[in-house]
Amino acid sequence: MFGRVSKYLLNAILLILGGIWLVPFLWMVSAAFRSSSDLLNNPSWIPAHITLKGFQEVWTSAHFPTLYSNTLWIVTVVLIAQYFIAIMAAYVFARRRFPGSHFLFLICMIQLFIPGGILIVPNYETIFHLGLINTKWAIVLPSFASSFAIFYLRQAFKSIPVELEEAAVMDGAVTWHLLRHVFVPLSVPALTALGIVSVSSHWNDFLWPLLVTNSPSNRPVTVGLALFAQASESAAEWPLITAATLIVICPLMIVFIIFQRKIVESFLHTGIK
Amino acid sequence: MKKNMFKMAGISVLATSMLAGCSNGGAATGTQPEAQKGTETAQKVNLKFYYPVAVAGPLTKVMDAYVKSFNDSHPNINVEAVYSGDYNQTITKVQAAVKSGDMPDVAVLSATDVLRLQDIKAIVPLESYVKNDKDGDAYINDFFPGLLSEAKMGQGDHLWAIPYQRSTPLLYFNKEAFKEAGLDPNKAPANWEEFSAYAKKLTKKDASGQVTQWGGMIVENDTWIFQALMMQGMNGDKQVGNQDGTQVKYNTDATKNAINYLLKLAKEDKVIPEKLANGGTLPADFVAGKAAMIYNSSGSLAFIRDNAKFDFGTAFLPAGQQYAVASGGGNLYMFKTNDAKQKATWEFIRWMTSPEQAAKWSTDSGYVATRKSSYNVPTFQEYLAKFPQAAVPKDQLQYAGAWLTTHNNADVGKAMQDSIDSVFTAGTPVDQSLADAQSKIDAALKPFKK
Repeated sequence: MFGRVSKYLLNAILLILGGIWLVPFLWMVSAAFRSSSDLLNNPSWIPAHITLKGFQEVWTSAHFPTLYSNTLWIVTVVLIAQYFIAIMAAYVFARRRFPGSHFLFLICMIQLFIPGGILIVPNYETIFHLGLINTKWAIVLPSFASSFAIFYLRQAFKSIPVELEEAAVMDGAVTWHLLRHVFVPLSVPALTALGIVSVSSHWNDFLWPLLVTNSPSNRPVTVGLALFAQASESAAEWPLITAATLIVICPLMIVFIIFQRKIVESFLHTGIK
Repeated sequence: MKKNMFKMAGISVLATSMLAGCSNGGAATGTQPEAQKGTETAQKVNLKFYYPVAVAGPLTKVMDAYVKSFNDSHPNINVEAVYSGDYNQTITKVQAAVKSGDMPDVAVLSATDVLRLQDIKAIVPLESYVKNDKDGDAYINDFFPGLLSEAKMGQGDHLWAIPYQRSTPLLYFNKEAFKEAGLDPNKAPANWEEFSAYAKKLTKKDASGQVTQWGGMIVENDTWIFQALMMQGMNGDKQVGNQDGTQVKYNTDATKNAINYLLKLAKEDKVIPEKLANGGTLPADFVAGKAAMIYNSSGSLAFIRDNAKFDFGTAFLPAGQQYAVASGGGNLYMFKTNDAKQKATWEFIRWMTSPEQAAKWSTDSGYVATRKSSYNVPTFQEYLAKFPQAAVPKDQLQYAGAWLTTHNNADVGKAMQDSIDSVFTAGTPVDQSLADAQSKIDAALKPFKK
């Protein structure tokens, strides 16, 4: 009895929270399909006329195939690099003991406490001296070694029973085999969660790509469309801003909806473990 | 921290005096032969041009078209236009680039960034280039004088920037609401008393006492418009800060008058909302009929024209002791690179600020055309005839004072903003909040005083 009541209560709370989350999103979708004067003069959420003018104006303002393919390239390269580096580093920090290992891990973790803004100038200098300003490499390079990814995977690897590793070693596995056949397969949920965090945050990244690139041929879709949100000296054109935002997040949302079950499962797994 | 700031101040003083020395020398000796050399070799000069976008709309396309047309007509120069976010992101990009020695050649940055750019030794004073041009003096005198005040700030007698995209605050009023309230729709309130009297007539309430139409809305969470109110409360001069950007007169009668004016409108007359208004949302409230008059940037003109379903007028901000506004927006800055590049940059700046180009930019973006002679350009005259509201910001420029420009602009602005907020939301007594703000401002500026 009590369980049932609490279940209903929980559902009600979740529904309310979901609703709160949904309101701005629905408003955004509604605004994107309206004309500016309809939006301002008609307080109803339902458009008097549906128009695609906002989308049209945004779409014709930039070369989308380039912007999208740049964004795809960026998130893919960052993800591969982060997996590659974090898996190895996490394994060492989780399983190997050597003089200074704690200290190294500590230094690695300190990165988590440094606000990103402080690193802008030194990172810019490094990228400049590497001769990479205005390339896509400039955008991705500083994100390769993510201390969050290392920390997160280390926790996942630590929860894998030592017996499994020992058994594999008995069968003649070297470190590479261990990673490939034991640690990575058993950490798929953690790796998936990490992938989602990494992809969505780099998909939405704006300031750093803006700073280190100059030509539209190297810029991601967020930078290409940001000009619609910049209106400090005039009134905000909401239909354009919302249409641009929808265009930016659309691919990511479609991916999320398609893989929704897998994604939610992986989050649950990481939670339970 | 403090030590560093002293150091920075020292460096900036040194830098500016060094620059002063250089530029004078250049004007006297080096420039003439240099110019000849430039035409002889005719090597292509590549320039990088950073520009922010601060008004809604696809302005990058407009800018790309301008730059293309410049490049087409200048075979020796190739300008690359780089969109760099908003003003804050652009200055961040510039600062990171300058630190690494990867300077742009020319950029549009906020008029108030002039001291910051001098402090990091990034920009070049322009008076020697002006002197070098045959029509140099005529060129500079053709700008509306109020627009040059920030560009002349800092140590010594220099010109650090050329006005490019500028705006002023305006009073927008709903002519239909005026008629409904029995007011003359062709006569905007001319001073604070009239504004209050008009606003009382224009404020409408429903049966339950809820306001359905505010008499006015004034941006309070923005020191730009508040500074206009401060200057309106002064007598004759419009100086809020000093020439070096090391001092702000904030705890003054003028500021008290400005805050009391807003307080009276909000709490006594109840004709403007008590909640602090945000600049970006005011045009939408105006268009939706929630406010019959607003104080807002001239940058909102096109938006209001396109969306208002009623006839509207624009006017000067109502006068206190005098008419006054601070003109905002961005200037063109030239960066310290090398002679050939700087010369090409100057050519680009001259081209971008030609009367025709300034008129075109005003039509395309909604900014004020910065040059007097722009208003003789036939296409621009046609545009203004069709849209007379757009001529008001230009007429108001004769009353414009300098936009408060100091070292450590961010902290100074925040102290001012906080004092307004605390009066409105926490009910702090005006005297106390101004005194607090003044001491915060003084502390923020102390390291920069000689």
